[in-house]
Amino acid sequence: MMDRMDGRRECGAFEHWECAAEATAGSFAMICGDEPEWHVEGAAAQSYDGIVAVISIVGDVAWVVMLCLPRDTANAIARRFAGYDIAFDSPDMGDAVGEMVNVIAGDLLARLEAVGVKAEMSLPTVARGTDIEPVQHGRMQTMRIGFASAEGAFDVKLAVTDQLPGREP
Amino acid sequence: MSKVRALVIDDSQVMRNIVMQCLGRSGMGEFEFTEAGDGEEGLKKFSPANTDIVFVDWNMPVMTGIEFVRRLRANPKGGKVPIVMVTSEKTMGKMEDALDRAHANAYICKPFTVEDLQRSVAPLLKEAEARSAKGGGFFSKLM
Repeated sequence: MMDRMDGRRECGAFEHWECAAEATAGSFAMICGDEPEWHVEGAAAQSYDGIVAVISIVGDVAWVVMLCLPRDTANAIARRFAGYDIAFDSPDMGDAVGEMVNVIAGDLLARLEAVGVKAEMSLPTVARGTDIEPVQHGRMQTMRIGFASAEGAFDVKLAVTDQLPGREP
Repeated sequence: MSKVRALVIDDSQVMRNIVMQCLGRSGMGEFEFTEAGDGEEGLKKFSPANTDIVFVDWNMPVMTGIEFVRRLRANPKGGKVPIVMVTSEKTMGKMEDALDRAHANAYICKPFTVEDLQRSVAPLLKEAEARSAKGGGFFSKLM
């Protein structure tokens, strides 16, 4: 709880960031049965080898949401999501993790709408690799929210830019 | 025994598998599936003579699910087939677009359970069965 409050104070540029954390926790609770614990980790990157699903939220805000799953966590959560084992290196793993970030984004949009923020989601993009970081035009800040679940630890990275489409930076 | 012929449209193979597995476990009868990866492919594979119900995602490349629903409803041959949107879109505006303006019959948010599917789909299959029984169509063969 202290971590959440500290994070809220430190992340003034990320108004409504908690919607992303709560959307992720709620979505994983529906998929896995238990709600994961979460806390703000700040902008420093944690090294990981795994799979990353990226989706853009564009409208009154311009966010990039990255769901970063280490290999073992991805295997465990994909099994819960699909109901069967999915090999980490198979195309189906990309499919499953893309769907997961899609589910998070759908929940996030509903939460943003509830606080008066209108936005739409893009199609997801999925990449496998090590320490994947967002790079984008405009001034961008990144925050990392760490999650701990029975299926393993994972991160959601939220990249926020002040350069909205069609507007001058 | 005749099967319910379902067209499942989603750009994710895993999601199509989940929909088909859940329907198979739902106890709502036996299903025979046709799969499509986007709305355009869905329109090509749709046939009023061979499709009893449609399950369609919203966010897909090439043609979105909502565009698929609009086009199918605009086609007299696709006018009455039950359409279930299966999507991660949860905002009220999207639900109203799908149900009130595009005339989908049901709206299921991902992730969903077998029970969620049963609640939405069973009434649609019953209605279709009643319509078909009057006309001596497909569902009358199940009785």
